[in-house]
Amino acid sequence: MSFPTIHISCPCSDTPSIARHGSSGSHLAKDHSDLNADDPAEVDDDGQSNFNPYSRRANFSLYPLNRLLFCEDCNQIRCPRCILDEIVSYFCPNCLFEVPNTTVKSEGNRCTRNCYSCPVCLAVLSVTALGDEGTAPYILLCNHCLWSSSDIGIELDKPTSITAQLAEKLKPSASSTGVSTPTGGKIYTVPDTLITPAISGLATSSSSYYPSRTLPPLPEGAELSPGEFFTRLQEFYKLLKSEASDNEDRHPNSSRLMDMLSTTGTSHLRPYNQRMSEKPKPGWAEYGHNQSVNPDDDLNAITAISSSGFSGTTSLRQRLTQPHCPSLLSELVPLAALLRTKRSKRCRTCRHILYKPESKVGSIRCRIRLVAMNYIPTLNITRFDPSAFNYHNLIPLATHQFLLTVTNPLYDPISVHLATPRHTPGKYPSNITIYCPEFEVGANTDVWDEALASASGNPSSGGHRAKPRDKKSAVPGQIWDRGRNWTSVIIEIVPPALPEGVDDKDKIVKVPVFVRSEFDTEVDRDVGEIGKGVKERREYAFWSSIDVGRIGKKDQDGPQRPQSLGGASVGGLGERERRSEGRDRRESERMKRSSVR
Amino acid sequence: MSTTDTRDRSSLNPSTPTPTTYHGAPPSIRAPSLSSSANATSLRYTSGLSSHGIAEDPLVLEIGTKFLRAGLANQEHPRCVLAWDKRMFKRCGDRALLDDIVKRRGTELWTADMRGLDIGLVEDLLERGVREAYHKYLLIDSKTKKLIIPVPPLFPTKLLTSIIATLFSHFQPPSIALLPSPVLATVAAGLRCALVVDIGWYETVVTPVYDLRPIEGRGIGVYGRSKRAVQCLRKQWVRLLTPHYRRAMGVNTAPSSSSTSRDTLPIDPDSDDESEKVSKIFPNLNDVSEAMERLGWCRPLSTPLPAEHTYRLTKIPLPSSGTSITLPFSDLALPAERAFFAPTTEDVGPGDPVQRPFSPLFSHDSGGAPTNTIPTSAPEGYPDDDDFPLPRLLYNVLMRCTVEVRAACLKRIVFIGGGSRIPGLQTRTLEELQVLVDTLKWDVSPEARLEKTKTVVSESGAIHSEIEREGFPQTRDEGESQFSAHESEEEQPYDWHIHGISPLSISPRSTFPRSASLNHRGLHSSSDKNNGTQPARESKKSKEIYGEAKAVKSLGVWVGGSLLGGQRIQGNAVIEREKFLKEVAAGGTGIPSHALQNDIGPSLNQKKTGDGAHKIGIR
Ligand SMILES: [Zn+2]
Ligand SMILES: [Zn+2]
Ligand SMILES: [Zn+2]
Ligand SMILES: [Zn+2]
Repeated sequence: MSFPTIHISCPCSDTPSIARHGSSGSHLAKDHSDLNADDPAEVDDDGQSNFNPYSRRANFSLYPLNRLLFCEDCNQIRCPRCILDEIVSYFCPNCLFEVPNTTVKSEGNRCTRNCYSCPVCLAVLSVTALGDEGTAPYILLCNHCLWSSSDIGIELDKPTSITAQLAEKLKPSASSTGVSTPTGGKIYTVPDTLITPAISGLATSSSSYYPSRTLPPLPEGAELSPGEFFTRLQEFYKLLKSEASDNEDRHPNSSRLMDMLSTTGTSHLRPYNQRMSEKPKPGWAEYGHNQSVNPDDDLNAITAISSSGFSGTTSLRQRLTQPHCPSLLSELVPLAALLRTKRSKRCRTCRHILYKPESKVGSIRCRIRLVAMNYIPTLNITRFDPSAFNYHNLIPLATHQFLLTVTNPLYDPISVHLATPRHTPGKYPSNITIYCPEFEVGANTDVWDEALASASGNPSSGGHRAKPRDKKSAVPGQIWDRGRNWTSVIIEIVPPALPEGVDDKDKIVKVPVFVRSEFDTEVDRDVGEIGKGVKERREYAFWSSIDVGRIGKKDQDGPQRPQSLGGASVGGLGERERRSEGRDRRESERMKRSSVR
Repeated sequence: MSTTDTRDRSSLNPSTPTPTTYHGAPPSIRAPSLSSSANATSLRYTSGLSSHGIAEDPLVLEIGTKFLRAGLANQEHPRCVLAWDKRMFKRCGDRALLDDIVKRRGTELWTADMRGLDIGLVEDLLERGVREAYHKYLLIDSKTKKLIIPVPPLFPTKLLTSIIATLFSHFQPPSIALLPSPVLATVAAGLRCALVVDIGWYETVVTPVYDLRPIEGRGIGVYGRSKRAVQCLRKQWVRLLTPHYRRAMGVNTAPSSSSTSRDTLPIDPDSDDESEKVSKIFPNLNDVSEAMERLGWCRPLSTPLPAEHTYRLTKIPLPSSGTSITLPFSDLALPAERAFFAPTTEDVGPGDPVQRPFSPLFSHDSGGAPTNTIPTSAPEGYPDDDDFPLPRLLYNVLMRCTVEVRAACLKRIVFIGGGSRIPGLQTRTLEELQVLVDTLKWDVSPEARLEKTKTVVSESGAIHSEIEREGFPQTRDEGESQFSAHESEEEQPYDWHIHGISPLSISPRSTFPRSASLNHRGLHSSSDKNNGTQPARESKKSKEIYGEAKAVKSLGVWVGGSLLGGQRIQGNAVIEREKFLKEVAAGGTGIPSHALQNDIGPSLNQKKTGDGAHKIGIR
């Protein structure tokens, strides 16, 4: 956990996906209390309920600024939850091969070339020659955990077309009941479809070589691998449905029958009771080759677990990544790399495109990219006095001062209004004071203009750092400093003393800050002469949450260190602050630059 | 499974069925009419098809308490199985989750207690999980695919509405079709009738399915539920491991560094009493879950495990605390024994780490009888009404069914859910069920019959719990006591290996006769003696269908959805986006009323399910 961290709450969380049940009326209205479902809503003096960054739901609505887009038409922040994604292109993250849409549709979501990942640790597998001078046989080797395909008894003849080779090797044996492993367990015969859907093409087309175009008849009581069973069930239901729809044509009134292959009330299928006593025939309502549970299978599974022990079984995570959910490590198979997508993003409300990447895999360029940090003011917070405290060990009951810098990305000056509750809404509230909650921030004019301006005024040191000192004062009601397109104010926080054994979550000071920025802008810059000069008032407003630091233990060296940071700075600048101030300034500048980037 | 390929086959196959599977007009006559009818049905049942006939397979989303399974219909496996874990609760950009959610809420998608459930949080989680599924695994634009959602029996409407709303508003699928999960499990077993036993996280639900209709009304929904589920199993694992864990950590040491305590269980910070602190040390729940998933097993009665396995020492690492525990392999069957087969789980004792009281899922929905959740003052040794051991639960449900449903279901028992993975569990349940069936037959005592009449007359769901508690036929109580001579053994919990069948006192080593019928006979005779006090009246009918319990493998609920979805079968509870959102905005549930009433749609409200087709299932 790094401090300080700033997240922004996307307003879309104010509009719950559904109205509260039973309550009619507009649910589009702002309803912050919805976020506070965990804890009772903190109500401000003016009766307005606040955003609670401690609420469990806040974890779902808070995003770092760089993850947010902006919709100009809705004049609103858009987070990953309130945009609709559209796939532009597919590619393999390993071989960077772009996969056409049609291939993805027919062959699935995995790379069909030679990209495989380790079933144990998910790292990329490399093809390694076992023979001298790099000759056959080849194995797939994980360089991270040293798993190799020879662990499951697979060696390859050539270093290419691995997908086809693996499919061949992992094909169910003729008996199709599984292969014994050295541990006595049974390898689930992995249906080809698992390795990569590409192979399923081969598999199903091979099944269609049968003259009848259906699967070969089964002996009575045959045991099928899950894959085979599935394929046969599929055939079976296909047939049933065709019978049912056929039947439906003759009896248009019984369309209900299609609903669930339900055959009651139809003439050519006998009632169930009658069928019950008879042996179910394939093609009738019940599939003939049900796989009954065999006690011997259970026993085999148990002894296999006993023999392999904890280390020979799959972890839950490993099991979930494998489609056939194997219990034993020896049953794991390498997985083809998952394809990734490039996606364009639309505003969910108005459908305008907010983000559109180049479809080419190698390109990182974007055709459209409306990111929120070009619209809404950026917040940054730094320690006012870097030497005074540690972010990870805020001294309880002491006054901590931070410098909150608001940067304006717009070409128009903005007026900013910050609001916080008096106490953080957590279980153990900290006191919060913003010295100057209302101020102006200059326009993001051309950097060179400013550089030139300041250079003429003060050639020795460029930029805003040369601005006269008297601007600064740590006095409540006044800003601390201001630059070309930024203004910084002091925010004061007094964390509480915590009892023993408090949850980590409650130790962190999370300050909710409501940011409202207003500005006048020309209505439409493109209108030309006619529209020029017509200005319109606009407003952006959002909640943000600042994780300032973690509350530490009370000072062991006796009573509270006076730590009169507050006192010193309220009265004027202490010696230490003056010294550290320059460094602080630089630090906030650096942060600002990095955040803009 | 490739879509193009499926398409090819779907157009080819029905026209040329093999003689073995085809029972209709000859293919030559059939073929043309088929192709036209296929078009007609696809137009009728899938509204958004493009004109050139590319039938898009819908998506199947199985939204469970612990996992989300998502994939395309007509495929054998879901493309992803995502666990609702700590990762899902993280704030965007953070590396770790600080909130100790495992302790306070659990990471499940919803909590057992519906009233205390934060629906908004469920929506947030669901949105996150489904988005990950779309973006990382499905790789399709969500707007283009219809959805099929399996719905468990008696699923709370409020939660269902919220789930559908989340999917519609965030992913905008053209439509969402609801299909009952027990039916899908039946379909994925190739059956039309089955007794579907879903061993889930919070509870085990037994649903008879008859001719692809779930039977939920008239008390089956209440009778077929037990808290003997995976959460209960994990409690028993904690109970098994805790003493060893404490020993491994050093019994009398102060509760160790924060690294061990943070992720484990609550330690009362104000308590200075060392022993009290020790009594609150538990192994990390994630470690326990992992051990449970990897090593848990269940002892079958008839098939002996070779001694080499029974006594094999098995090391269980507990990585969060850096220790490990070594136990004989036979001990690892104990939690399943206690969780699923012990007469009661009430004495979970000091080892119970989960602070929140268990309340059966959705109990308040089952007919407005909040008494369900309150622990009753049932006499010792008698299970609470949501605490039946698995075999007993199955028996109770079969007991409630009509003769033909029972006959069909007894030999078609389908186990699904996380608990069905435990090796040996299915065999063991069947063995014990067989003993119950052989011993108790399907006799109904006069009192029970009286109670049954009451139920039918009252038509109220509220009465079910009462009957459940009081209306035990005396004969079966006798039988029960026959199977539960365990009281004395409870003192030394590690010795009740097989408590249920005490007359035979099976030891782990005993070379148990291979044929289960032998034991049954032994038990049978002893219980016959007991039944002598009561007039053992067997109805002729029950003798006729006195059958053998058998389990049938199912490929699972998701695969059932995949199979039906692959044939464009959506059921009749298809929900369209605009209509749904409009209805919800007006304060409704948005779920069509026929979905609530019709046997095909999920029966969400017990009161509404008592009519029509349900009558066939209940006598
Ligand atoms: Zn949003
Ligand atoms: Zn690749
Ligand atoms: Zn590896
Ligand atoms: Zn918009």
